[in-house]
Amino acid sequence: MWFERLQNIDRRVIYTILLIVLITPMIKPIGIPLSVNSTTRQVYNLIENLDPEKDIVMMGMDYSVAGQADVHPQAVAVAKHLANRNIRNIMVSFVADGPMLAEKIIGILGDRVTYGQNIVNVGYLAGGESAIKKFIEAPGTTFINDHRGKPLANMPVMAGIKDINDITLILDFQTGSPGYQDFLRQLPAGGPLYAAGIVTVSVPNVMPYLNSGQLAGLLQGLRGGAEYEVLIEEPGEGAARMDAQSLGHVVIVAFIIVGNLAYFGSKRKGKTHGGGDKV
Amino acid sequence: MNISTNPWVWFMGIGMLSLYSFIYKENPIYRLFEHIYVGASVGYAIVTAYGNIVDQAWTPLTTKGELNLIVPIILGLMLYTRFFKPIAWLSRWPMSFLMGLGVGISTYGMLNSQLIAQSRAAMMPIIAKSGDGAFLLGKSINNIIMVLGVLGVLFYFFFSVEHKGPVKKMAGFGRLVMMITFGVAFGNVVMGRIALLLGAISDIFGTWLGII
Repeated sequence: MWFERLQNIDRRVIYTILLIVLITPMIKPIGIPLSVNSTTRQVYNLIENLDPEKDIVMMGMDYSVAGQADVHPQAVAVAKHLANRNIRNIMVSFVADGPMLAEKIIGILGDRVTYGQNIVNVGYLAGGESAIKKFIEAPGTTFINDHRGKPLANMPVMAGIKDINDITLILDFQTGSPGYQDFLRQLPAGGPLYAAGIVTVSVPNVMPYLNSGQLAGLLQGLRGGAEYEVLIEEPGEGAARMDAQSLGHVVIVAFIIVGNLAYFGSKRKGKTHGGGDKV
Repeated sequence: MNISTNPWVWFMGIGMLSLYSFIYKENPIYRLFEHIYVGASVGYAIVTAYGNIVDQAWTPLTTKGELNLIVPIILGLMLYTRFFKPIAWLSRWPMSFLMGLGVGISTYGMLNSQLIAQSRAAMMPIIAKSGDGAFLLGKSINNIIMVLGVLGVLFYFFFSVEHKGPVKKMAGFGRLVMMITFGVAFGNVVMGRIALLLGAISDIFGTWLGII
């Protein structure tokens, strides 16, 4: 009886328990310690080793509004790091939502950056992989105006960009396609380093590319953003959500264990009473 | 508690709650905001696409005299001929062009980055040594698992030989590796979905209601 009831808990009960467990630590944080993954540290070290005098970074704003909860904290933390180090940052979007999210980040950076001087939002280019190919072939002339309609040719941030090799590092924040596979297919051998910030769901698919050395670093979902905030010593929305994330996992694990115990319990009970599995 | 006075934030909050109300059951408010969401997304996409056509095609054509852009503009317009039955067949030309272009652009890169580079990465020494020749136990174990895992999965999908004896054992190991991989993928899906829910909670209880 109990085993059957445990296997058929109403989904609304599960949602309510999960919601309570997630909201509570967000209102009153517990402070569960957060270790930093080596893949996040790789991205941090890449930026730390850049030379503000000559190095240029392209931030690929290729994530959608629907996935921003997972990726946006990463992009904000990396943009802060670039701004703190006064590295030139060119924000390019191959997803339609990208320019809007880039503007949001520029707003957060505030006085740390001077628009046109060390940061620019060049806007969106339609076409997925074809657009990426076009940008890689001519990064300096693919866009005529930026997202705000100002001509890019006169902006100091774009000075000296003729070839893709003039860009030192591409950091692509993505929720799907176009993403890492499109970039890896199109980037020339010996071209700029490529690192990615991805949604948690994609992590198992991306790991082989990191292990093969095709990716120079990887930020893994919300956790990657929180870790990066810890590294730059500016805790933000990523770090604030990690307590809730951890407790949420505990609840899911508990439900999986309860579900399995109930399943095996009812199976055993069925055997004792001479009955078979329910169909 | 610091409730937002911005009407757009209120609109966002009510919209989120309405969409989440689907968890309880489908209702008219949910459907209303679903339609608003779809409409707003399409509107945004149209405006962005229009801006792209102006920036990437019309402006260079009219101000810089880049006449070669006439070809993609005509091909683009031909896509819309599908709405006119007598000349609908014309839309197949740009569609074929797009398909050919897509395949052509990605094929070389796919071979290079997804086949050759990945195969090369899978060919690793099973006895790993550091730069000064010292034996690395942990790395060696990792490499052995990796190589056996790759071989096992390849054996599992190798259907030209009957799966019995050592082949069956390797295929079984491959199956085990895949089951572990699916478990890892499921774990990441759970983690990702909770992260998305946390974003919504943060917007509702932080940006809108000012509790967090």
